[in-house]
Amino acid sequence: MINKGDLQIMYSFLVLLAGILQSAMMSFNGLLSESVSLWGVSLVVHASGGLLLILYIFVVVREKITLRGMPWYLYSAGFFGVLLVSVSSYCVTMLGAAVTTCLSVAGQLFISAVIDHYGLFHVPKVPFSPRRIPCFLMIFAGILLLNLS
Amino acid sequence: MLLLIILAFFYGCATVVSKMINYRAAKVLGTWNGSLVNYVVASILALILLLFSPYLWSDLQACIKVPVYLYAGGTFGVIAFVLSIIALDRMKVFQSTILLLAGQLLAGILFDVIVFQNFTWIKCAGILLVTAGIFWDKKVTAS
Repeated sequence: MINKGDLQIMYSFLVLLAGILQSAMMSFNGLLSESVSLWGVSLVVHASGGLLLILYIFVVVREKITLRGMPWYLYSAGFFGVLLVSVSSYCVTMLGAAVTTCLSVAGQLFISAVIDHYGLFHVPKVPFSPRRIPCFLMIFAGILLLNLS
Repeated sequence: MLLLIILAFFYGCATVVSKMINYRAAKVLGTWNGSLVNYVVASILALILLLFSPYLWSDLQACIKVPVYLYAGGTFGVIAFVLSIIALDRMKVFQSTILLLAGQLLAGILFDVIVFQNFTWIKCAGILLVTAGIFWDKKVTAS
């Protein structure tokens, strides 16, 4: 019998592993982009990932595969996929994996705060709390340091 | 350097917009098909861009020469996605966000030291400061 604490440790480990794999993906794509163009990298990454996902859906999830029936603008997910893989591959080779990750998370926090504050994309409005200002200043100071290195 | 930093920052911003679109897609098609759409459309788009770019021929030549393990990126991405689907629902958001970031940074620093060999102490201090700020902000917003 597995107890609840053990399960939590296992899930924590899985999330940590997911983070490691995400970083490894960025680095490998960056290395690949030293020989192959950014479009080529994007094609390889999405085609191999897509095939693997189809296999997983067939074998493990056992769900019917359908891609139709969404409003047209949601298909722009693929456009973002190409954009994100290309930009991250480029940044990793120029800035390194750790700095790219750091800056990307800082960007995520910033845009999330803007989206929440104005309630963009129909998310519930959450006004920006002044208590977050020192945190953002600290992040900004770190980015300035990165600019120096 | 500054331009690259801004680019990486905007990359993070675009990630959030992309996540929101993927979230909507998952609401319509389900978690798995919603994510598959992203892969399929992106593959087609990348193929079209490649066909109309001047890199097609050089890419074809290069893709035979590069070591096979460099193609593992896509596989890593899918495994990371499946793991996060399994684990994220069963954990507190604060914990999982910090753990995900810790994993990314840990591996990122290792890659920088071993593969890219571009690690400096100023950079390390910058990374620490940004990470501490992110951690602090997560703590403030979680409470």
